[in-house]
Amino acid sequence: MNNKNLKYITLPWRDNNPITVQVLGICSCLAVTAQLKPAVFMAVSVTAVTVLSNLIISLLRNTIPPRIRIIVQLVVVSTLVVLVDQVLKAYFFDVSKQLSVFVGLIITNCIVMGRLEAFAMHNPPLPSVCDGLGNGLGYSFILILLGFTRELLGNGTLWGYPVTERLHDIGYENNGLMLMPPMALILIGLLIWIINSRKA
Amino acid sequence: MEYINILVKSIFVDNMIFAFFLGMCSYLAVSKTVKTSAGLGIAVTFVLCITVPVNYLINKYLLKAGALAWISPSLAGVDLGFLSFIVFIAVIAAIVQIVEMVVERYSPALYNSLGIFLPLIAVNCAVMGGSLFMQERAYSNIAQAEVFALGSGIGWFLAIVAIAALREKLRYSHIPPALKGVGITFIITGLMGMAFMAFMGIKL
Amino acid sequence: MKKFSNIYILLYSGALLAAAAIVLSVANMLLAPRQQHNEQLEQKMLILKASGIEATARNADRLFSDSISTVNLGSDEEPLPAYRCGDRHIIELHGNGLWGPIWGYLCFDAQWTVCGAVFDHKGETPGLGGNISTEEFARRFVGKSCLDATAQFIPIILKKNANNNSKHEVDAISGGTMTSNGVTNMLHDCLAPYSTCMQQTVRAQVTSDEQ
Repeated sequence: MNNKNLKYITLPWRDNNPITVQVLGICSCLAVTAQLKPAVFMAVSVTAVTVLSNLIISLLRNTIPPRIRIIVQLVVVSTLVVLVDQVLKAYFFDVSKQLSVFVGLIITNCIVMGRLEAFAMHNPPLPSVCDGLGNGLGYSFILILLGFTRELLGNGTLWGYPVTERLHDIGYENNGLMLMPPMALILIGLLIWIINSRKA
Repeated sequence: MEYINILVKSIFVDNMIFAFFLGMCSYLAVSKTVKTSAGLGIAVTFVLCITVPVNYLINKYLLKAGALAWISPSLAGVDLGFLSFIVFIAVIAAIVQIVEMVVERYSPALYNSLGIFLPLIAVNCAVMGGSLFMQERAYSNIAQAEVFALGSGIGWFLAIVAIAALREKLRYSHIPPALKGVGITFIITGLMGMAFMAFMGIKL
Repeated sequence: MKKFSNIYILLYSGALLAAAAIVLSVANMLLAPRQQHNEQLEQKMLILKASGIEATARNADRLFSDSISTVNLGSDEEPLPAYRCGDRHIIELHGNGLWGPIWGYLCFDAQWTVCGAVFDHKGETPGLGGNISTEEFARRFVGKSCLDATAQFIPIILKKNANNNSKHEVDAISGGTMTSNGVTNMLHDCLAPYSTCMQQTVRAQVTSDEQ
């Protein structure tokens, strides 16, 4: 792997983070961040779909007729998402119940389609895979960070295991609001604030 | 009564934006002025009202476990449920395309106001989400599915118009520079979502 | 940009769809047995929980086959499926709550008194109707019965400020009136078909006690 490919992986991390800066793909991610476990599974699923669809589209890029390229991308992405859903249902049944419809919504996740259209259509397979990985990991980082914060502060647990039990004896209380949907939005807002002010 | 129930629930309690964050991409991108966001809101409602019932029929007569029994009893054991994602997105993309062509042909005035939004809608999570929720919640007849689609659309419309109105005012307020734009929009959406949570306790 | 002919586009989309269909069907065929197993496992765990047996995903299969069997409490023409665990019977319930399906299992002892219950739901309001899936709610059913002293069928109902001494009334969920009504309807619809069978066993016991 040369430096250029490595750059594609690290680029989305520094100043091009898929969620905070490009503001793509937020739709399907927030609803599953109330707990760490579904957030991690969602992150892995999205990363897998981004990497594989980038790879497939990049391999096919010279054969795809431009007029039907969006449909071709949709078919590839939705096939991969169905595969992910099937695997989750077969091997991680409890998680797949928690993720419910949100696995299906990876299809309309702007980040996946966005990378296909912007990168994989014009680049060879290896850089495309790196680009997909970089973007997927950037996305994962935010999902997991949110899942971590919300479960820890909202429920006092991590991955289902109690963490803050001792603190309750000295008067610590869980903040139930953290588990509610609006807090995900507010946390993202704060995160963008932090990242933007560090850049400035 | 049941229909009012579904309508109220899908507009306020299960609001696509505030409770499920569906359609955030276009919600953030197109909510700069009230006029355009109202146009997008109407377009989303319109497409939801067409795609959800169509997908309902497809799910009921083609995809569900045992749904093929009406063709021949020997097919009763077939479960094509695993194809639903791919079929739903294909139906949505096709319908959006058809709607665009029909509207352009028969109502140029409507096309001028809605047309630019239609291509955006095929990949709008709210539309796909509408079909997936319809499948998951197993509405007992097509009228319920239609009411649910209408309610979700109206809920989305309300959310985007409200945030656009706020953003128009926000332009003249003092916000920390790093928070301007997307950041403050997220936080305001969160606060609006909290207000909508008041509907959760609604007794029907 | 290269030009593509219409025929090429048609063939291309056909080939793509065929490839996607094959991949998905193969995946489905390979994974379907495991998925069904998972769904059955979940059902088994609910049944075990209703009958008061602690189970984890690991030992549920073994515990279920060790202690629970399926029985038909009706006739061949009108089967009334139930599960049997020792001298207890477990009956499946399903109905509609406020927003979607609700379901559960009731475990009856030999005298057809409820000795265990478990409920679950798809999308009832969290904190209100959603509370039917809590153990606290399930415990309210213990000791209830849908037969009175003369073995007449009286459905168990959920109501506000229920008389706790009554064997046919259970405290409703506060704030979840529609869900509670759904549970009441579910209890009536799913238990009524079993009433004849219940009456028979109870009457037989009464006569044998008298002798």
